[in-house]
Amino acid sequence: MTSLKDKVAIVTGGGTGIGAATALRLAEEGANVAVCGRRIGPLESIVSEIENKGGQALAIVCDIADESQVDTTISAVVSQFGGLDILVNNATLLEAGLIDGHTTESWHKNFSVTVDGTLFMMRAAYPHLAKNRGSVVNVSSIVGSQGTPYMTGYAAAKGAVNSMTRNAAIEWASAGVRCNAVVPGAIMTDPTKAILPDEQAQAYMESLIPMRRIGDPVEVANAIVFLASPLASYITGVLLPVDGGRATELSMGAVSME
Amino acid sequence: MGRLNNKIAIVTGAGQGIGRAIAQALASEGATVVAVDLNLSAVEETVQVFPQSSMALACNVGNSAEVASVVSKVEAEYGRVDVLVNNAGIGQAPNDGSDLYMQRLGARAEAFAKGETPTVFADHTIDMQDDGWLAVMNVNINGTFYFCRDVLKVMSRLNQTGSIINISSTSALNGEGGAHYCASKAAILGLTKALAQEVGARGIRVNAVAPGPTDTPAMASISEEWRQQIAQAVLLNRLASPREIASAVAFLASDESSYITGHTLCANGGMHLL
Repeated sequence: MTSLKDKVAIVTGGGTGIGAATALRLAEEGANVAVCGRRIGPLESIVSEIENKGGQALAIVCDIADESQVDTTISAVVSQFGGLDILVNNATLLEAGLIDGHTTESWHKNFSVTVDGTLFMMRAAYPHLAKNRGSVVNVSSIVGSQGTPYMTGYAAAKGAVNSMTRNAAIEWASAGVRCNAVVPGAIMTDPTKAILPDEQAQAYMESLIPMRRIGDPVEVANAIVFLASPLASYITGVLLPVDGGRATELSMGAVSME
Repeated sequence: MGRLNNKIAIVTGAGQGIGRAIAQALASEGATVVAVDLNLSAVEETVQVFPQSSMALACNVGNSAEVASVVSKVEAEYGRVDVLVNNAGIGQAPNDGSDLYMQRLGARAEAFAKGETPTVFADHTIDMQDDGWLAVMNVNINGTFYFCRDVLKVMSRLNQTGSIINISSTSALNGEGGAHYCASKAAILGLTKALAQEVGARGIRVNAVAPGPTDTPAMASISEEWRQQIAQAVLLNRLASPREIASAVAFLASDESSYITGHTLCANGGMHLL
């Protein structure tokens, strides 16, 4: 892998799951990493893990749905590390619900972190990214482009992330700032574990995936690191699925082919 | 040494341009590279600079017997195949109507320059003969199929995992190019997705890369003005270097992309968005 030595990265939702794996991988490649999230505990433990491996990291408590906290966070990172090269918008929030059962409040919650928060981060980070010809990687989801009942609000929010990714790629290309997204399928994080109560549920989920297994957070992190790195210097506006082939397949085919 | 240590990789069309850059990128990541091309002396030159063992073989990928022979030679020498990159491809062939198409483009440009409305359309396909169409289809899609099939035979028999990367083109997505070329490159995407589903359960991944305009020797002959026009069609406002396509291929070849299959990765400076 290419070196990200002395690059500065921000990862939102960096305390757990895909965000934590991404913070660790970016640090392994030499980046200084600001790890953001709402709870200090998980952030501090990731920062210690990075520091124990000889890396540099910073824990920042930030609710990205609050634009003043976002502006403060970006300023703090730039003043601490001297600039900004990589923004990973991973923080999200899921309020499940049927379309005819969504309260207005739960509907808006799906958008506050995932859509508003991502916009606030991109907006505040852009001048710094432009200075360093940096790059953005948004973490979308397979639900943003495929039918997913019971989570219409979340799916719509992830669809919005896809649009924001494409449009930032266009608006920022002339400044040399690339913007891409990874599109995870089923990844073994805490929220995924929560919807897989037993082995049978997991086996069913796996049967829908061409690679017949649920992904590991580090597999998404590796794709994020690639897109953020100079190795992807001619790649922008791309939505890269990290889903074991799930997006290529209609669920009906999978089981019958075994 | 790299992400592809101890891997055996076959790269077709490795005598120049993107294929040569791919062979070099995989070798620099530690892979043992088998460089394949119609032009043997060109691939011999490609592998000269590799630090580790490598092999240069002549092969017309559109000939299934030649493909079978290459794959069996590689298995005999190295015992397996881990990575296959189907890069060999052509954009035109004799009797495909290109010459008449270029004449029409010239006439249209002349009319525009004089401020007149052109009297001819930019027709190409009406002059495409059967053999011109088939020649492009044969190299681009049949060649990719032959290599996928024969390498999968080896991977399947040895019950091994692996990664196959098929080089498509942004033309497959936006229809910019000859009908034979666009159709063949789009067919590669269907092949890629079908194979990804068929062999994904045993850990063999199959992906495609869709390059945009790339600064290869084939592009060197065009005028500076045309080059500028092409660059303007790309968000990043420049052509890719072959190395930038190669680094996307190396990512898909490596375990860094271990949960990615069936995808078409655009390495085209954002051209697919416009």
